[in-house]
Amino acid sequence: MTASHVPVFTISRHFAAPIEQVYEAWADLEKMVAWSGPAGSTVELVSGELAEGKTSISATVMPGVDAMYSLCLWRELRRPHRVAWEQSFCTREGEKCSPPFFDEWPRTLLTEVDLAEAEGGTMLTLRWTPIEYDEAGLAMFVKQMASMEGGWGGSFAKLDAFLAQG
Amino acid sequence: MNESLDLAFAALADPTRRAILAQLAQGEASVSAIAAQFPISQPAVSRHLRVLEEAGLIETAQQGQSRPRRLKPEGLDRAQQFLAEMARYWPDRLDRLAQFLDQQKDQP
Repeated sequence: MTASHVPVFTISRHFAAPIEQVYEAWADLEKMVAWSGPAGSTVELVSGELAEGKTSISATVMPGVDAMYSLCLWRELRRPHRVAWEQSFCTREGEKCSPPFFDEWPRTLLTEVDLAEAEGGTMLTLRWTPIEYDEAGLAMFVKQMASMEGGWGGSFAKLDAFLAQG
Repeated sequence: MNESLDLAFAALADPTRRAILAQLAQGEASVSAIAAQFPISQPAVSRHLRVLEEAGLIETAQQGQSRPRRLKPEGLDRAQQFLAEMARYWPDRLDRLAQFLDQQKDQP
């Protein structure tokens, strides 16, 4: 499989808030943990820091379920327009692993958040790209993301070609 | 991925069906009680219930004349919950971000 076949999930959203404030919500760890977990969860920093070229390990804690750990490598922090990071599920010690309960998922995903001032607020475009994966993980990613709002970026012909490969 | 998991994800992809599951998580309910919670017709609710039942996510109980629907716990195992969560990952988080930004606006 060549890189051109990797599907990229894209979602855009307009926020009625200044671009600096939206950027801070992603790039300021204290703010980011306040909203970035699933409903009913809390997110805590275990180690590391949110800074360009650095890594962090965070825990998502939900009632009744074991904590899930995420390893993030912060690739780009370009105030106030862009945040990009690689993210993997990991052990508490930071060793990459399969997601809890399931093996078939890309090992590492690149998330790119781009912000632009628009209509008195901020337009956010987020791209989610598998960068470390096996065939089964990629197929699962395609299947799951197809049900998300927003849709796929890039050419549908490419996606069709990918899906046709089975 | 096996066929039952495929059916479960197809069933979970629909927001009304997720809302029905959330309602049944509170306890079993009759079709008419479920339908009363949604702005859609009872036949439409019945169709959603059939999809959920075929996916193994709910089941029909037999209690005398009534046939309430209830969650089938083994149908929603952790793997399915996890993947259903992944399918809602960014829409849910961006909703939460919007709420967070709104709260900040209200702060002095």
